[in-house]
This record gives sequence, structure tokens and C-alpha cells, in this order.
Amino acid sequence: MKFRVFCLVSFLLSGCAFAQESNDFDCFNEFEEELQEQVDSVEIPDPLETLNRSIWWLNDKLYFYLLKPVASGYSKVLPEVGRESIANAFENLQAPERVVNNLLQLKFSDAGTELKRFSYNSTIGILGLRDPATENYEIPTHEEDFGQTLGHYGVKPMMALQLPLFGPSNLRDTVGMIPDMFLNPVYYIESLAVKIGVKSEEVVNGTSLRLEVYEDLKNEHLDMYRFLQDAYEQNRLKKIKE
Amino acid sequence: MKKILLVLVGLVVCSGFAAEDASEVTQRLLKETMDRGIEILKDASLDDDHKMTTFQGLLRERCHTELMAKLVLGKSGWTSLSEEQRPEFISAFIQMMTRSYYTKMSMADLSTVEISYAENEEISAKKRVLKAFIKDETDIYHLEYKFALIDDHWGIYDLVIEGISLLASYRSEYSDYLKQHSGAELIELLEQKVAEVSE
Repeated sequence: MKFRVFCLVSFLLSGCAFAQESNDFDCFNEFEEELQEQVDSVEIPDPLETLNRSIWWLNDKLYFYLLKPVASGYSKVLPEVGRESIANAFENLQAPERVVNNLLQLKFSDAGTELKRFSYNSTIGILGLRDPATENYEIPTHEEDFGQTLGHYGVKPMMALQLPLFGPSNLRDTVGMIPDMFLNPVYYIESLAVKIGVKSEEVVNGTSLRLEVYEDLKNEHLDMYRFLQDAYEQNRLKKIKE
Repeated sequence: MKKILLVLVGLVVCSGFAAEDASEVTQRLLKETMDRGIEILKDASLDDDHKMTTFQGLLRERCHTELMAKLVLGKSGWTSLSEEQRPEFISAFIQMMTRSYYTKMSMADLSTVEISYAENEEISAKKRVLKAFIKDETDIYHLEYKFALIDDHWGIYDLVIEGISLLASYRSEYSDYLKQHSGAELIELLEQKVAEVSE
């Protein structure tokens, strides 16, 4: 009898030990599988990697030697509140793009909300310089662009692209930039010099509000090109799913 | 038979309470962590170095740091490290990650930041996702804190900001790096990065 009990206890104990080991292993596996799925879902082919990395290198140098010094000087001249107002105005100008792409995705309610935001911000918000739609009426924005619309209807990113000045993208979103361009009022400015000036102001102003963010990310990542491309795809996937 | 039924009913009721508790516990942990983090950053009596070490200590306490370090390497990356290299990697990775989170938080204008907590979703008995919104003067950021129950302790193991998972980003980068370099080189580079940022 004692032997039987001893055998039973030994068996149970060995079972517990195994379960403990197996439990730790399973625990690791469960998280491992979840993360691997997440990584795989945003991994896209990068057949032009050499070219893309060269363009990223160029963008990186442009940022440090041109954009950052200009944006730093600009931020010293114009106070933050002024720069935020300008950023609001540029965002307001993108309302047609958001309305049309919401409609194309049959998100009629969101398109209506965007129209409401545009009317509030353009009037009470003094040509979009302020954002009373968010601040006073708590009307959320529903960012949509043509790349997201294509994604909504199942178009895959196809391949990674790094665009000069614009940074990480993919083939689907790059194609999507063309119809969006026609929906932005800046496109209809006749003088090329003025158009370039307005676009440059948008980029410099935006950068001045995010100074040091790029440097901070670069400090912590081993391969900034890979990180930017990957983060871009993750963010786009989230926006398309919304 | 009645006894068995009673035990079953008891188990169902208890599991119901356990699920409710998990939701409350994770919610409380997140709120406490955020409040304490902001308190540290705002504490005028602490110098920058002291603030950072206190902040890093808080994150070490509230996150499953070892699990995070294992996951960013993946099973093959992790097993490729020797027994001696594993703690070295964990230490370097955690040092860099917590420092990076501290830097990001310290960049924010904490006087205007508002945090609101949304859904608390159960993924499995050991996993939960808590959604939160951080609103500053101009933007609203969507955050997801992933919690894991390990050794009866709920802790954060991933943070997703605007769809970008902290672990997934590092994972892609490190697995690429390990295709062409050794684990020792990865650890050396990480330690070098930490040292550079500390200067």
C-alpha cells in the first residue's frame, strides 16, 4: 500500500513539475505566437531596399542639415501658439480629402462629421486657425485618405517605398497620394513658387512642433530605416481597420 | 451528485469573480502607474538623473521586463544567446526601453495632458488589453496597454501607440540584425546606445 501511495505521489509530483515547466513554456509560446502574427501582418516585400535605404539616408541628412536648423530658427521667431494655429489651418484644408474618402468608404456619418468640423473651424475657428470643433464641441476627426480607401477595399501595400522628402510609404499609398493631391486646395494655386512656399511652410511648421522626436527615436533604434518602415505599416494597418 | 453540482456552481461563481477582479486590478495598476509616473516627472525636488532612475524603477516594477526582453528576440533569437548573455541582454534592453519611455514622457507638456481610460478587454485568462486616450492641447493619442498574468502578478508586457506596438517594432529590427550579426554584437551595440544616450 505504501509503495502504491509513494508511486502515486511521485507520479503526481513529476506531473506537477512537468506542468510547471510546460506552463512556463506555453506561456512564452502564447505571447511568441501573438507577436509573430503581429509582425507578419505588417511585413511587406522590399525589393527596392537598396534604393529605399539611399533615399532614407538622403532624407536623414536633409532633416539634420536643412529642415531641423530652419525649423529651429522658425520656432524661435514664431511662438508655439502661432505655429499650432498654422498647423490647424493646414489640417482644415485637408477636410475635402477626408470627406471624399469617408464617402468612398461608405462612412456617411463620419463624412458628415468632417463637414461639420470644416464648417465650424472655417467660421468660428477663423479660417481654420483655431479648432473649436475639437476644443468646444468635442467633434472628433476621422482621418481618411485614398491609400486607406484602397486598403479598405482590400488593396495590399504591395511593396515598401521610401519617398524623397515624404519618408516611408508603400506602393498603394503612393498611388493614393495622386487623387488626394487634387482634393487639396493648395494644388489649385496657380503660381508654382507660391505653391512650393505654402508646402514648405507646412513642412517647416509641422517639424517645428515635433523637434527632437526624430533624434530621440534614432538614439534608441539600431536600424532607423527598418523601424520607420515597420512603424509606418503598423500605423496604416490600424487606420485602415478603423 | 448535489455536492458535485455545488462545487461546479462554486467554481463558476468564483471564476466570475476572478474575471471581475482581473479587470479591476489591471485598471488600478495602470492608473496608479500613470499617476505615479506623472508625479515623478513633475517632482521639482528631484534632479533629472534621480527622476529617471525613479521612473525606470517604477516601470521595472509594473512591467514584465524579462518577458518583454525574451519576446523582442523571439524564440530563435533568445535561444541563440548563451546563459551568460541572456541577463546581459535583458539588462541592456530594459535600460534602453525604460529610458526611451522616460524621454518621451518628459517631452510632453504634462500640464495640459488628460488621460482617459476606455475598454478593458479580456483576451484570455492570462491576457488583457486596456485602452486609453491621452489628450494634449492639439492631439488625441490612442494607447493600448497589454497586460499578462505571470506568477499571479499582472504586469504590462507591451504598449501600442497609434497602432505601433513597441515589441513588434523592436522584434522586426532585432531579428533583422541577428541575421547578419551575433548576439554578442547586439548586446554590445545596445550597451553602446545606452551609454551614448546617458552622456
